[in-house]
Amino acid sequence: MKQLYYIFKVSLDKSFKETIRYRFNFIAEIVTLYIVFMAMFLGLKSFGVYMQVPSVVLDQTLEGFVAGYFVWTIILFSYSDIAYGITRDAMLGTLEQLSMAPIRLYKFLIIRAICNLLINLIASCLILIIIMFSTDYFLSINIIILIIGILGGIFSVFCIGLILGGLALIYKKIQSFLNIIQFVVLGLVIPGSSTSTLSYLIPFRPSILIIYKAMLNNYSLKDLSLQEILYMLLNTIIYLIIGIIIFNRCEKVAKKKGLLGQY
Amino acid sequence: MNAIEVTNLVKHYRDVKAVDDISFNIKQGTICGILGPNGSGKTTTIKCICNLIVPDKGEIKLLGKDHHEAYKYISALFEGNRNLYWRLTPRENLRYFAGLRGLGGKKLENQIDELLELFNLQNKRNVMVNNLSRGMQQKVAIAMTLICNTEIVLLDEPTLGLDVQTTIEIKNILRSIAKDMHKTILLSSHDMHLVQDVCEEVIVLNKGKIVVQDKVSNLLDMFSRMTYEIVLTEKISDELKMELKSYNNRFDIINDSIIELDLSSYDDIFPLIDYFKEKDITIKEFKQKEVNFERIYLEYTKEVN
Repeated sequence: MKQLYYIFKVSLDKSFKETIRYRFNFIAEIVTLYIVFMAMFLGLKSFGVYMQVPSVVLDQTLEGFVAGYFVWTIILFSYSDIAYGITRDAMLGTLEQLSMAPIRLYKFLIIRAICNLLINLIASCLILIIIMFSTDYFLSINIIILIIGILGGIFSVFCIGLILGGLALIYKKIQSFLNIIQFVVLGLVIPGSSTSTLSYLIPFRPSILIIYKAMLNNYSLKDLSLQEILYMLLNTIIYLIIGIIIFNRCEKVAKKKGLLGQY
Repeated sequence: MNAIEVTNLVKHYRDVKAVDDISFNIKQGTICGILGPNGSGKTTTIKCICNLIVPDKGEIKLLGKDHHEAYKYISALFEGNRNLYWRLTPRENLRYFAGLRGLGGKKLENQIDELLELFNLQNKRNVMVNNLSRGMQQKVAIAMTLICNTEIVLLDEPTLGLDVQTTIEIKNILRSIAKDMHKTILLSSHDMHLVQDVCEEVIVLNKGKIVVQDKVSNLLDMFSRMTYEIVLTEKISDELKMELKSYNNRFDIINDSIIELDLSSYDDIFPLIDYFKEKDITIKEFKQKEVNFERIYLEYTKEVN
């Protein structure tokens, strides 16, 4: 336990310090995501007005778009951090050191992803605040539900990260694949209230449904049903297990082929 | 007690045999060099020991225990000054890598201070690694292996690209690590001076096989005993040079009046003197040559090639 505490402590410390020391990159990331959002938002708004969509419907759509973009940034940061992290460590020559830690590599990556999530949440919230002020769409967010939704479901996103990280261990450069995944994830965050079985099977989707209810329908803690929490936890646990199995398999292949640490 | 025991280690990459059934032991508290040309299997062997590469066959024991929990016994530095985070300071890097091994607390902070002092990095403790010179980065990387507090330290090219001054500093530090901290060091290097000056034992690999494993002092003795320099009073003709070559292909003609020769036995000396006498060549000097490890290394790797 003490071991895990120290690993978590130094990982958080490092994430924080590197964010500050690579601040230009951090700021550029926020600015880029903001510009992309504004372009899409203004396009969507103009299109809605041009098509003479009733203002109530258009407002709901745009509010949903704001909320969806916020969730998308969280997902994007979370899975790409794991995958990019491995590529970066392979380049720096630190991957071997991480592989020689007393805990399995996947555990370390999850700990690091949690640390990065804490910092990325700051970035996502900053983007959300800037967006709300720029668009004049202020979402009334129940912070507790938002945190429950994100923390309860984020491990299913880590599953995507672990799978991509596993591929990065073997193939090193997976940038193109990551770009494709970005668009797939866009499909995940489309606002909607469908509670079909399929929606519960998609990674992070049960959490997204809870987050949207908190952001768009002023859901409070008492409105959250046990069933919703259960689906969210089951979804996240199952996907996390799948991610770990695939990552471990990739790690085994990398160790067998002598690819660990090569770039 | 043996710190590292490798038995019948085999590793293929597709059809290429990177490590071909090698076995060796390294005693606790010694500095052993693992040498070989590029592609000889050094890095694969080291990474197998660290459990970063899974061998096809063979057994590896660290301090008598299976190597699958290598982190308990080994810390390693791979390929020179890599292994560090460039936007962290030396202190932060050391703290981070110690933390990865589950180490922390006030005691660790004191150890970090001691190591920074040992490596003469106190003044640079709060400077980001990317602003340090290559030599300093290298020292931080070696310090990183020591902060993990393991019995065995593996160093891959610890003096790669360093200036003479820093190399000397690192040599002294390595000696002190083995002597004062009682660590076992396995180092892989192309720097033969480093090996000669620092290592007690050496393993030379070529094409995945061990071509020699012995104490450095034994090898130096053996080679210096057998290598002679013959200085002649007069210049020798090209015709005679050819003749000398055909008499013994271990003649190395340095210039027109100096010849070097490796002898396999002392008994070869007298026929050789007779040969020169017969050819009417006067020998001015006949002396045992000082040998450096580079020569020994080339000799062993040449034979196999």
